[in-house]
Amino acid sequence: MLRYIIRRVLYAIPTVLGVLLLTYVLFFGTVSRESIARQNLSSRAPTQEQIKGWLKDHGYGEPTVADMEKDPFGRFLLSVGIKPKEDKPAAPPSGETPAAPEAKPAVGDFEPSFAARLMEMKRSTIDVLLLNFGKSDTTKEDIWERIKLGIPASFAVGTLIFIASVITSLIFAIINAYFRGTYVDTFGTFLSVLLLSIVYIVYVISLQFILGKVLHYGPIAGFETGPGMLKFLTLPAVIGVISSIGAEIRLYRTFLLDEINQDYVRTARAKGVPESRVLRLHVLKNALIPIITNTVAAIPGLILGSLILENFFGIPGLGSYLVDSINSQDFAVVRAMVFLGTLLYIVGLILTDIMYALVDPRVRIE
Amino acid sequence: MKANSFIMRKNILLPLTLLYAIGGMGLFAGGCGNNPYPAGESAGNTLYRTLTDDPKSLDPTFSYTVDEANICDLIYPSFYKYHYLKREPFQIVLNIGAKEPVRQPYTFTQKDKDGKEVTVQGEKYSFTIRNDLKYQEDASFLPKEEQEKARKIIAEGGKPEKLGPGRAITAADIVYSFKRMADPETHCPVAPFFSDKVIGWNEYSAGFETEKAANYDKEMAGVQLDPNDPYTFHILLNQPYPQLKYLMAMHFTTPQAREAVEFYGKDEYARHPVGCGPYKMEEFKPKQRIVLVKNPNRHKDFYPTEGAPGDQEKGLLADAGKELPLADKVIYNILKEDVTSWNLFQQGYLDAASVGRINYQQVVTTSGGLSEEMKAKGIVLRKDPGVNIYYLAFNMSDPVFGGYTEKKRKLRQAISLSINAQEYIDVLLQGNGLPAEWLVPPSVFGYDPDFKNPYRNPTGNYEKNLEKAKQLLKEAGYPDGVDPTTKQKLVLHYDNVATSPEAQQQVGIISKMIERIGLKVESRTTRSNVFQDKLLKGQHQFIFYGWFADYPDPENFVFLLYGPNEKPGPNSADYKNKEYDKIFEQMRSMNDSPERLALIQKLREISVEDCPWIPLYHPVSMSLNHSWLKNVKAHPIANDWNMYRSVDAEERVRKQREWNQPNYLPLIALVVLLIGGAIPAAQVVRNRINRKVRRDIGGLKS
Repeated sequence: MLRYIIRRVLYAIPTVLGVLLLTYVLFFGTVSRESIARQNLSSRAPTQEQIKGWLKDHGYGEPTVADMEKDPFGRFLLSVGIKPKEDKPAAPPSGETPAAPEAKPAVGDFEPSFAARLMEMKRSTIDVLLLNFGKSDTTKEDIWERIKLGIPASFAVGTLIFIASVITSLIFAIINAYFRGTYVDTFGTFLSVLLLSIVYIVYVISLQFILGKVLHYGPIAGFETGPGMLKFLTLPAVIGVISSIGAEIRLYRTFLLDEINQDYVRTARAKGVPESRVLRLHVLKNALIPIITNTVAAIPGLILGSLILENFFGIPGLGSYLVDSINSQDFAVVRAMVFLGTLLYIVGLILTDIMYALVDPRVRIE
Repeated sequence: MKANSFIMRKNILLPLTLLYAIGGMGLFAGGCGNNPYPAGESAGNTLYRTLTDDPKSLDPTFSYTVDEANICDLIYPSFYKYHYLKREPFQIVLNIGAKEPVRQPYTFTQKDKDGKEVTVQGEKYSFTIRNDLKYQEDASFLPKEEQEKARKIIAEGGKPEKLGPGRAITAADIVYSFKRMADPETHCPVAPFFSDKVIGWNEYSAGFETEKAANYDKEMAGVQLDPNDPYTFHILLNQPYPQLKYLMAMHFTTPQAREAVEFYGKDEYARHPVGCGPYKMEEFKPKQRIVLVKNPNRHKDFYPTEGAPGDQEKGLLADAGKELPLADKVIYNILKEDVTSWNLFQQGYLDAASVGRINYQQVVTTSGGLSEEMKAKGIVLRKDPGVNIYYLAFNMSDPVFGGYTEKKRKLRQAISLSINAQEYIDVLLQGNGLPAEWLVPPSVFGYDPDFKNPYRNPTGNYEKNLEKAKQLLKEAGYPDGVDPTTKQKLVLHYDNVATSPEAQQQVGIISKMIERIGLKVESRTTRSNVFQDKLLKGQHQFIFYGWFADYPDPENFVFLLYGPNEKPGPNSADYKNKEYDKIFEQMRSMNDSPERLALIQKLREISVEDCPWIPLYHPVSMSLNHSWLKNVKAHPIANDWNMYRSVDAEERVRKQREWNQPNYLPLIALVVLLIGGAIPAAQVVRNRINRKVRRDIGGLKS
């Protein structure tokens, strides 16, 4: 088991590196450096010098030989003869009259050399993998600090919704399964299909309006840390549960019915085992295998938060961090969040495999 | 599986469902109402505002957006500020300045390109600030040995127990701000305003390349401390520059404490402002809220005792002479979604709201007034003209529509006549705008309410305008819009970033108007970065653009057509007319006078005939506020207005209570329904268990 986990973790490294490299290529394939600088400079009509300066300060400009020598990878590049573009000669020693003003660079001439690109790639892949996220291009905030700040809020909302919706759907699924074929089951199925056919954002806007604006059940937006948080989590949690149980009830009901029709359940019944015991030991326990594996994969995702819910309820989580950074062309944040997302996804998959082995004695992990 | 055995015990479903329902109800009730703020806070003398996102930076040398300036200008006061009430014209008054600056001619010699000595007629400004100013208390003013501890606490997101006393401010602190602007690493957006005028600016700026931070210890040739008076500094300019006064009213020229910048470091300083203004920042929780509180170290400042005509009647002078700021706290809620802010405003948890797509139908009646629903709540609707202009511009370098020949001019004039600004305003802006005749908006010097642009709406009758347009089009060589060489309709490419349906509608209306004279309009929609790229490379043909004033001087509008401001500058039409440029250069360094007005009129004549632009409208913005918010008057340029606002907290609390009584009836009904449904279900369970095996086996056959 341990060997399996170690192997999976080692496999994860090239996967993550590949994802980061792809992110880099896709990002700079669609966005020009100049437009990034323009987006982030506060001036409405930045000069070419301002753009160049911004790019340089944020690591998207042309590195000097001295810059590259500071970094082991840069030294390696220099040793194999990959050099940066020659920048303008060093400033004249003081005393001399400054050189004649240089010709203006052609508009949009901010494309870096091969060496600069390789350095950027190294920064966007290996450094990120070593958890060296750096600072946001837009706000200059330390990205790791910002992530640490956002996780608790996202996790609180996410976990509450997760637990409440699993329990709620399980209850309704059991009821549905128990009353299979009766009016309760038909009605329940009808309701769940209805619930799952409504788009998520409709739930958020309409329920926020009905429960918050009209019925005044809780604050429409805001947040607080500590026990006061509960007040702000009420509405998002209710909305999160209502929007997700439709699909879950249907799924769990199927899992339960699969088990109810198994031979060993019939055998148990034939032996005169009471119905409640049959359901508890033979049906529910076995049905939990697919349920658990299904839900465990979702746990790492709780950290990243929900975009729509957090935006509408003013919850300071991580939900909108990635989307915002894409909109503001903040590549430093994009790569950090893509990395985090990939990592959590891989962790989720590994956890699922482990859970399989734990809950199902038939499964062995080698 | 302990928990599950509990669930599956006999008859446990019913009590469990009940428990769950009660728990859910407890969650609602435990919320103790829906007030999103800490208990009792709304009863205080507090303003509640919103931001749609975290401010990117509160560094006064970098920040430039309106939202950021709203906060910055309360923390960082400058030499001047705008008079809160006076309009037409706007008036600037001393803020931290002690007296009006002294302006003197300043003559000096310098070498020109060929090395010849030439005499330059420049200007010297001497500014004297108040001598009783000091910074807010801050950790950066602690003695060196205590700073380390405080820094550690701040780095962990905490608040140090002890703060250093606010240091006294001298002119050196403003000089430091100028040095920061010259530092290329701060990326100051207004640096280009100074760099070509302040003597020695570029040389000083270049010094940062080699000297790095040590450059701050060096003297700046053009911004000097007075050797005799620590509260006076001089700015030396290579040309007369009357607009300098407006820059001295922006937060870029506020005094800044070098020790604060160095204590926090440039990046963190942007989130830890240290100023001497009416407020200081107490709390900044990203994506959540920003809290400003009264700064005990602020200088004495008072609410104006006189205002514009009519202000007295509107009650805007009720607080005349009271000490500023009027509110103890300003709280900014960071809310991304307009829907959320709008709902909170309706519940009374925000003092003001904007009018937009999401609430227009609910707020404004078809006649443009406030709806009954809003009136009943005591909400006030305000319409305020902005100091800005929206326009359509041709690319003057374009081979078809650009150029300065008589024919090309007529072609553009014809298109200009085809655009009906009033129709545009009525359809797209619900009447909230003023058709523009030229660049300069109302309440700025040079605006002429009687001026009628001969190529906009000279007759007052759109049908007649169209006839004239068709005539001009014929004279331009395109009879009925048909290009005689190709025998096809002449195509105008409208470059835009209209990806949303609303923006598409705007493009559609403009296109339809132009097509009325026979031309064909093709929309070229791209993403905004591609659009910017097209603009830079001059590949655009026809665009829709807007300009917001930095300061209320005609120069800040007329310069949009100044040749040397070509891309990447703000002259997006790429308009170049030597005569215009010459008059502009003369006009910009003059004080407001009849002579200046005459020059502005000449500029108008030239640019109207050349027609690089089709001036469209000056917008009017709509906003709402609750009746408990007092002293509400919008200032289209200044951003420090929150310090003049006050609230009737008693009224606010009363209305909040009245509007937010929870209605538990539907919830109770739901629970009753659930229980009602559960009873027959429980009966079925009981029956099944009692009947034991036989029935069950029967049921399983299916």
